[in-house]
Amino acid sequence: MNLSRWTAWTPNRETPEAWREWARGAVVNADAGGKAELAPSLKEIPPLLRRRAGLLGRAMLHVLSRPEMVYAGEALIFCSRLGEFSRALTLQQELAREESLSPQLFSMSVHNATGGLFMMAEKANAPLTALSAGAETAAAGLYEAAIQLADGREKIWLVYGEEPLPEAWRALSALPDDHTDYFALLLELTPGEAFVLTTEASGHTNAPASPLDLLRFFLSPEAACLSLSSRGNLSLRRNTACV
Amino acid sequence: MFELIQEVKAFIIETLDLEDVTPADIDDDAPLFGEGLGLDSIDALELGVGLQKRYGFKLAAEAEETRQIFASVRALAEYIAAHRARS
Repeated sequence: MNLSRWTAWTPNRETPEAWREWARGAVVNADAGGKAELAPSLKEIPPLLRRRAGLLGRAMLHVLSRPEMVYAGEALIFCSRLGEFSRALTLQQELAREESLSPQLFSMSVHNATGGLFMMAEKANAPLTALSAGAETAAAGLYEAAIQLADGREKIWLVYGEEPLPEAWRALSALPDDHTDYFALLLELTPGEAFVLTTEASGHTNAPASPLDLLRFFLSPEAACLSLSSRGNLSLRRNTACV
Repeated sequence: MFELIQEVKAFIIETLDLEDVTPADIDDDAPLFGEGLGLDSIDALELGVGLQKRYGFKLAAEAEETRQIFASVRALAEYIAAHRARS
């Protein structure tokens, strides 16, 4: 597959240059841009739809709506390990207090809700896939994209997003760094030879790659191979042999 | 009634996250659903739950009556004035 375009957002890191610096491991002064917005203002999405999106949804809709990423009916794959988990927590708290559940929260608490909002805003009827695969979510999204490209699609929009784990859950879970801040990533993938998904044994025994590992790999021309998942030895190879 | 109408407008904006709408934007007599504010069926359910929490009464499931209650801000305010269990 080829990566034709990409964009990513997290508070304090918005531009491609900032992300390239991050991929090179440069220390970025977090205070450089002043106080970061918790979520983009999202003026591109009609207000009546926008109000339904939570903070993670807004981050994901933002990368989908950036001017450099003009949407033209591409198939979408939405990937998030936990989705808008804070909504689920609010609903659980309402249940615990034996209150009526908020219908709006309930209707938006399904995993494909943000994708649905985008489709409604775009009045699109393209295929939409919503994935969650635990720690292997980054791998599962790429795998799904590769399958759809092999099946003849000319372009895929692969979207990743995570939100910080709610405080009440933090003590109970040991999730990786991606879960400390809101973040959204959009990769536009097309058929091609620049990157190859492979199950050849790579010798790596790393933890599964996160979406941010994936972005760093794409932005690091010297990196030959990224171990995605120990399950099936799935790796992403940059058109030279894995080492 | 004027004060209650203003209160109902603020209640609708807050309950439904209408971030770009101010009370002055809402016509006292315009329909809340479809035209007018452009709210949908999920908003109707959300308002129903919100009314119960805020004013302490439950809307009947009977569709025709509910339609009249939600016909406009004024109709909703009049219904609240007649049925509220909490101030």
